[in-house]
Amino acid sequence: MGSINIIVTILNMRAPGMKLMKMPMFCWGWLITAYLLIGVMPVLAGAITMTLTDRHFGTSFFNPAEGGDPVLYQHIFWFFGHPEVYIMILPAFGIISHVVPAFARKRLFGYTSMVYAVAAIGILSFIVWAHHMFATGMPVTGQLFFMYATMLVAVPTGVKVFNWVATMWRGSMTFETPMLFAVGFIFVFSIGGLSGVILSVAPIDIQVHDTYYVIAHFHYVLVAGSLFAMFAGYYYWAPKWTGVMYREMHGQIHFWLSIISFNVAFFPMHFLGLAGMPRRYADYPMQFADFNALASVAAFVFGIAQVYFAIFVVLPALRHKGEPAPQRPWEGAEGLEWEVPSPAPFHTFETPPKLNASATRVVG
Amino acid sequence: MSSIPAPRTPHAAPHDAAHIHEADHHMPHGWRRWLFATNHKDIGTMYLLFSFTMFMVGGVLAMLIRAELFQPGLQIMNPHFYNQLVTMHGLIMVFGAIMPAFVGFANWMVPMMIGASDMAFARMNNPAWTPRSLRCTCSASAPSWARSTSS
Repeated sequence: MGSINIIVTILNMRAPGMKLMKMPMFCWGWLITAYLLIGVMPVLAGAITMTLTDRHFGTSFFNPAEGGDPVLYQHIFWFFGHPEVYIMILPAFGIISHVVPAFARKRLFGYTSMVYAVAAIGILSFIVWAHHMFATGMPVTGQLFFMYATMLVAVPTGVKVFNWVATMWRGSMTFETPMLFAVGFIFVFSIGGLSGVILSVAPIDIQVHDTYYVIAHFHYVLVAGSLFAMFAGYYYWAPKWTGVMYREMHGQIHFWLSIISFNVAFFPMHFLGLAGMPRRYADYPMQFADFNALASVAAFVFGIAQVYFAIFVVLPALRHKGEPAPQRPWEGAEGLEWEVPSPAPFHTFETPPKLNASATRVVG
Repeated sequence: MSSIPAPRTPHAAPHDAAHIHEADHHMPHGWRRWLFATNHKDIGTMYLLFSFTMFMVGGVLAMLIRAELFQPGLQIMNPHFYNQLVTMHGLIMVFGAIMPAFVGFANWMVPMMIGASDMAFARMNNPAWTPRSLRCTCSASAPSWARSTSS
């Protein structure tokens, strides 16, 4: 329902002159995301309904004792599950594509290729699901197909990372908190992306399947990917939402605490996984003790950093405490959201605005 | 300075325009504003606050996991509860924190970025929000439920 709403909004409600290929990248990211959601949410609904009837109503879709097939569940689940991880990262790409140009004070490098990259990731997301299932014993042909298809995802993702870097190239950069989180995102997400390519290689995947290597990989793309992008977006747009600025020092402390503790917590998990520590056990052999203790301490620091964010950044913003935010708090920020006052009035653009040629400013 | 476009209806007198933008009669107050919300910004705010709350809940579960894993051996919980923690941490973070947070960003920013007055289906936006928040709150209570059925 929400996805349909977003698709219809983006396709039908654009102001005159806001052509699709001039649309902000965040909207592009969400447009593709919304299509993915429509594609895979019914599949998840089917999977959990079948599980429910298996457990409570005597069906046996997935129970081999009565002729069902547990691998069927994995197929259905991951047909949802893989597009789902792109659902969680494409809007993040969108946010980064706004923050990086704003603080590099340059237009986004390669806008068109960014749009096509998002679309390509969206399409590829539907044909890679079985790379989660290399260990279930599939034919070599299937393994090769899903392995190569998965490696293909790295191509459009690489396009995006290179475009962000090219946007920063020779820009007049400043590092306010949104930009710190955006640069942090690019750095840490790239690590997660690279471990993803490593995992896509079927023989390696069978080796490290269900180990802490996988835990490290997906926390690098989800925490350092989605979450850091959302922090970048929060610091970037919250002045528009609340009408007050955050204290820059608080943002910087939040960022440095987060990124250091995140890496200390999750990077050793690569080593744990390669050494063979399996996931989802409450206990482990003595040989893994040091890295686990380190990870736990760093994870607690990460948790404290988020409490710090709640108390010193979110709470003052909710209580409208802080310096009043100007209409355009960031010198290089472009886009229609900066054409309305801060905080944004209850109703904006009640009549369609007249836009300039690049559809980033309201004229007249 | 403010560049909200003035309504281009030819017969709108200036003070009418001002009145529309003050929008007193458009903006409900009190609990009605939030329960019956159709404004994309209010709904976006609710999504963001909800997801941040769930982020904190999922974070507490992560802390419990790391507390158990601090040393080898079983310290503070039985393995079955540990497994439920892992599952709930994942579910809450994905469906309670990350996804609603991005929907909150979308509700706030998409209409403003493309120069639209609101979402296309402003009223449907509310029933898309309310059941989701209830659903996630219910599923957050699932560990106790799961233990009672899988003894």
